[in-house]
Amino acid sequence: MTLMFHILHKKPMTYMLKSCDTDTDSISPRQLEFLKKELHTKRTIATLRILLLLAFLLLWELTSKYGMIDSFFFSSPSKVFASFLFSIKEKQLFMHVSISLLETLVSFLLIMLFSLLTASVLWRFDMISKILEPLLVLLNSLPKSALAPLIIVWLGTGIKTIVVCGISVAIFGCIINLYTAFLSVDPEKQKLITILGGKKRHIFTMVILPSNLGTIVSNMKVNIGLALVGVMIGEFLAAKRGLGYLIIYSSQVFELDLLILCIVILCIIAVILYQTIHFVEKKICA
Amino acid sequence: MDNYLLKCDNVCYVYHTLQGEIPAIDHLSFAVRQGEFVSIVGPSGCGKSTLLNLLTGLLRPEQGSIVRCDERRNNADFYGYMLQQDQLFEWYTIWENVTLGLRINHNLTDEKRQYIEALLEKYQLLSFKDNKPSSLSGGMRQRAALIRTLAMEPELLILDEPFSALDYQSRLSVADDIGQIIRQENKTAILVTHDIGEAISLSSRVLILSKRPAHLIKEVSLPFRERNLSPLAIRHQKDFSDYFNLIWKELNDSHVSYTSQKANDLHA
Repeated sequence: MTLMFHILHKKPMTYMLKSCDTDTDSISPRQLEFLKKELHTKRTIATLRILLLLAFLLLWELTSKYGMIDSFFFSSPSKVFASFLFSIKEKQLFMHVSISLLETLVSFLLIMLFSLLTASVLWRFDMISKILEPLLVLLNSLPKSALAPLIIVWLGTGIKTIVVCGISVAIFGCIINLYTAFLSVDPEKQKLITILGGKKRHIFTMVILPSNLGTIVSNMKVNIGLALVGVMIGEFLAAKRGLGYLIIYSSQVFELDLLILCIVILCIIAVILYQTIHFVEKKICA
Repeated sequence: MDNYLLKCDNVCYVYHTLQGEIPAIDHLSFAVRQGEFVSIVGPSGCGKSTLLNLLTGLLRPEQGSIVRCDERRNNADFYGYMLQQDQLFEWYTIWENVTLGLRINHNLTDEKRQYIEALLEKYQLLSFKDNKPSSLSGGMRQRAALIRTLAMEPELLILDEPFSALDYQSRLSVADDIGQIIRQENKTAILVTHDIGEAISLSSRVLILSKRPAHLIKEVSLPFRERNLSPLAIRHQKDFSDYFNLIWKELNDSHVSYTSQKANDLHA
């Protein structure tokens, strides 16, 4: 029974406690049946997901092997894997991956830091936010990839440029999101702090920040993805290292196995980054 | 006036908007004495919230004055304000919530700690000290909100429709609870409400305000509080309905006379 609870629920402890109230052994047969059914559904979904992936890979492999698709353009799972082994040795694949990862993480941290700071200042000083509002709207709606060539001319072709590209994609949207969230906090809660003799900084640390923890984390989820987009744009245009550089290079020399490999790695990186923040979110909210 | 705690003298307040001026309060005068429980009733939108913001110093009167008996204490010390919702912060525990004011003012001494713990114990919340507010019932949340107010040891409690967010059933029992706590702790209080029954069952005096711009129509002194009954028991007193009708009539008359006057103005 215990095992079943662990499998079924993402928060086993609370459910365990609840079930303890009514004594675990006394679960009615109908409830047991229900739980078994739920478990069965979950397992079916997981199995089908894996089967779908395997079927896709198999289809891809076979069609390219028997010439139904052109393996030069469309590659195949085995060729991608071979390219993976080759690139580790000959192309310093891990160096490229870690460079991109580093740039993404640095951009992400700076995005969060700057937008939290800016949103706080805008919240604190009403006049500044009123004056800067059109500028923020303008910068947010501007396609940021248009800025990349300018940034390259200004800053050259180092890591700095790539990081700034990564930041530029997400920061304005994040500032606007956080600032709007700060503004929409219940005025009565803020009034309470004032009544109890608190100043603006008390309102900020005791109401605005804690009540917006969820918003901040959900912005983190969006921004880690956007930072990766920005870093790719930067690397396409100006890098000598990194996954974006590798993608451009492989498309220019028609090494499509490597190109697809890079995209697969990007997918994996994106998922890992997202899940990390998801994990942090759960830690905070628990 | 004899030992008043708070005195409003000819207070006027006008809101200024781009569309024009909106007079909210019109030459309002009253006083609150030590130990009294004064209710303020009036039609909705009559400027009750404006009045409370004036009393607590969140707004300043355009004319007239609001005088406290003890000018040395600052606003946060003098007033204990209970808002329409309990406004307990979900991100803090009950203990962190009730000590909020003292923590803001860096005033959480051992003595205060003991006082608050005693309050929590007296009103059956001590065992929930380390829980988050979401695990408390509506009534318990209101008690916690009241203890958060009492923790500051205010001279004057201000209750801004504190029960309006509750359903009728819990509204009666919570009002009963809060009324008795305030009496036990021997606090002076001003209650703003549009519920006539609530005003009568809790207070020793009712001030009836007119429609906006608010001015005092009538003051009704109530005998019930001297009888040492709980607010719930007061509702069963024989003369309860007499007072209810009296206040209801005053409120309605003011409304009728106001509209008929307006009609006359239109004719003329």
